[in-house]
Amino acid sequence: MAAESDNELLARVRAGDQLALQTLYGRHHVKIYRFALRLLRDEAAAEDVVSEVFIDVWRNAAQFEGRSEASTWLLAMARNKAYSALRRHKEDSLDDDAAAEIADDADNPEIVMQKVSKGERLRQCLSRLSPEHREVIDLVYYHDKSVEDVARIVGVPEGTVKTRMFHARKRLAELAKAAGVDRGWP
Amino acid sequence: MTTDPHVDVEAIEALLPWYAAGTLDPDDVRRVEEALARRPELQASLRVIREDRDETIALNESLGAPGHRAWEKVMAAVEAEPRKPGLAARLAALVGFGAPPNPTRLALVGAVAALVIVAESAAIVTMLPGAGGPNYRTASEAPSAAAGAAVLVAFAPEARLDQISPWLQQRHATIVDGPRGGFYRLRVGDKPLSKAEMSALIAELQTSPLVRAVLPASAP
Repeated sequence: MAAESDNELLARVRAGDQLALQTLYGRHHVKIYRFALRLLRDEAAAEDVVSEVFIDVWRNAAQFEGRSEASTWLLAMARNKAYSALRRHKEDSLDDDAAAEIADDADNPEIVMQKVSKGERLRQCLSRLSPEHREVIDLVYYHDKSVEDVARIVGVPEGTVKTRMFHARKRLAELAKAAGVDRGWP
Repeated sequence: MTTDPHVDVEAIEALLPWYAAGTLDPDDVRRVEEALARRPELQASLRVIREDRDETIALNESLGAPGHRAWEKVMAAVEAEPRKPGLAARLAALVGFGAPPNPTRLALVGAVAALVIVAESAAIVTMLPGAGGPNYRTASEAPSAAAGAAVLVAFAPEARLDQISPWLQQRHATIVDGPRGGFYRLRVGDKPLSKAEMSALIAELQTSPLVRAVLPASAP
């Protein structure tokens, strides 16, 4: 039995089929949630983004033109909603970031190295990237999005995507080095 | 290995993350692989990128999934602005052994469906490379309190309720749960079936134009 494609499901959603909406939700809600959570660092706010995205799918499925994968469209909507939420709670977010920086810098690299594995240290560094860098790293490495797809989701030219990814990797390498993980790049 | 001065290292370096992720087009894959063969520093970059990619996946996979509240909000909005009576809403009235539908029971059906969708998608997630966790069950393993043979049925989008109701009656079948990702759990008859009988039942159900797909479910 071949599973229906996302495009077929969206066509059914356009016709008012709730089953199709549920199936689409089942396929994508976890990744949408994780994408939003990485940007917002707030589980309730990330859940709200998931709900709002699929409510918009119900209301606006006709706007999906099929020029990209449905997941790219969903992630673009999730990003817009996450950034709107970030803007609404800008001061709180900045406070959280500042707190995270202070907490992360509490131990010197040697102590950190004794406490946690290399993988754990890299994951901590990934969490400390700016939202702009986090999203491009996640879209490429976790959501398997091409240069073109990332450009669509983030709303910037493809050249900017490549440059931003390079700077995100560079910043990650700096954070990793400061945490005692020097891999000789850049 | 020699260092070829004609390779545009910067341009290739910029493509490496997508090369590592397997999302480059074939022409760029060829360019990257030619450059990797000539410039050892690009191979060192690629090793770092693969490490970053692996940890990014591990970090994201550790983030869990949204609670059923997220789906409940979607359903509340959908129910508040239906474009036309959906098959799900019409079939929801059939769940519960023919008792008359009421708002409380429909809400319960929605909540159950949302919970199960979360579990189903988690099961899909566990099939992804690098995903872990033994605690998820697929829809076919979901428990049921009802007796009789159990199957999971996805109805055709064009199937109408006035067609489905007599179809169910003819087969002594009742919808006991769902939809879960488009599938309804049906109880058929009043006794469990052997493997051969179950296969015959699924084959028979599958012949109906009202049905899009049938799957075996665990014995109730």
